[in-house]
Amino acid sequence: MNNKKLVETVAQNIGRTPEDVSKLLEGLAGVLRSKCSEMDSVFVPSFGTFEPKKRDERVMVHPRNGKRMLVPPKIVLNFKVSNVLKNKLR
Amino acid sequence: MNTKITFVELVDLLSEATSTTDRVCELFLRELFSTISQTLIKGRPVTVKGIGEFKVVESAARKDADKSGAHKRITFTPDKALAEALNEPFAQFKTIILDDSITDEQLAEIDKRFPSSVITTDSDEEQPQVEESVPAPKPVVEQEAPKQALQPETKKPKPTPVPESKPEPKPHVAPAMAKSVEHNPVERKPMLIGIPIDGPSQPVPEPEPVEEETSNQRFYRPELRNAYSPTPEQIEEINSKPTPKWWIPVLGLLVAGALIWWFSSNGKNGISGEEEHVVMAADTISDNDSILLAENKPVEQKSEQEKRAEKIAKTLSSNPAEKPAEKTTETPAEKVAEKVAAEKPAAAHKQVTDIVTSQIVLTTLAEKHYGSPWFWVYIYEENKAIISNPNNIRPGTRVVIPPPEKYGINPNDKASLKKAQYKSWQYLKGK
Repeated sequence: MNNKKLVETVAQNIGRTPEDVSKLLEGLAGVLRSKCSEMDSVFVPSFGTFEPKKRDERVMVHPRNGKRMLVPPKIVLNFKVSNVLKNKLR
Repeated sequence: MNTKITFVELVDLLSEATSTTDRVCELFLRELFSTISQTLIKGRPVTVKGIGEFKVVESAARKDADKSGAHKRITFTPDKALAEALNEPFAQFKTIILDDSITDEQLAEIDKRFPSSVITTDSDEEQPQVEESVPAPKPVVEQEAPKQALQPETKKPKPTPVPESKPEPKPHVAPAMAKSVEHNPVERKPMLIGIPIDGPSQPVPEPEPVEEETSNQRFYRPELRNAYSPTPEQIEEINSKPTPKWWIPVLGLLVAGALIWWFSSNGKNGISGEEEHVVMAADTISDNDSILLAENKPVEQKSEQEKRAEKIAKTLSSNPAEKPAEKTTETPAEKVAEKVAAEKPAAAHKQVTDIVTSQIVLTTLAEKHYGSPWFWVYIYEENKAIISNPNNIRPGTRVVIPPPEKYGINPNDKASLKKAQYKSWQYLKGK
């Protein structure tokens, strides 16, 4: 499901225009960005948690040419699936 | 920092950000995530703009743990813009490919060669230039040595005959004059040259070789006398030409011979006893002649005039006083010339260069030299002739690090930093 279809579905279900929904979605993305940049995690019940994590630098081997590389440290956004959703998936 | 934002807080934040009511926001959030969940449960991926992509991945059963058989799990790939925003504090770091062929010995060698840092003020390029500039004065000094070895032969016999032939009255005058010369040796010289000398001494007739031989034979080596054929003017002509190195000792001998001959002829006019001293003076001065090839002309003239002056003033003992004076006036000039020659290329080439390796790239160099990786653009601009692609530089390339003033580089100045960032974006876009 792509973004457009998602927006249309959600708009239909809550009885609002797709424009409103896409605006709200933009707002949600903005909140996620600002909060996760501050290393705060965002919890959504029965769905999961968005949490930023710091990955340390590490040496990895390039899978193709076998060269060893020093990968720098970085902050990644991790998504931890809630148990409810996990159980539903099974 | 590291706090967990609950659903209620999230609703508040969203309503604040989008200026909609809490109720609408809550409804929207619940509906959104339930839609995503349901789609995922159906096993289809969902892409949400600005957040990321959720995917369902089948996981195979693990052999060792029967607890978790084959199952589905959800993977999340954050949106590119979101990921970059999060990683901003570490954005400057780049993945480095490690060179496995480098051994510990090689590293140790590098450490030895560049003790603290890799910054070099072009030592490789400077040295040959310095060496080039040095040879000019050097050969002269080297050729001096053989000359000095020769001179003792001519000099040595002289001191002994002096007392024999010398009449009494002269020594009385000499010490007094020597003293006066010692007081201001440098000033004294021009005076001697200028006023009294030329008048009386110039009328001296050109030599009558036969008489000269009879009176002064013991002091001269036959070759020296034979060597004298050109007049002083001719010698000057020869000296002014660019002469090859082997000429220097020969010229020195020629000049010495000429001077000796000149004095012997002058000495005939009545000052026979002083000739030995005058000859000594000629020798010492001709020494200096050969040292200063370039200044040969003036020195020779000076020496001639000096000798005349000496003769007239009868200040034979002023020789020792004059010798140091000449040394002090001329050697510093030589030294300065040497120094200037050596320093000039060094100043002109005070470029800072550095070597790009597989681990040291333009951004690392910029960080090192300017304090911020963004300034790599300027290094690239400075070396555009060598670097075709800033992302792909052959390891071992020596790049010139431009002085920070040239591009107004200042890591503490935000405007300068922004300018560099803008430039680097443009370059990267272009690629």
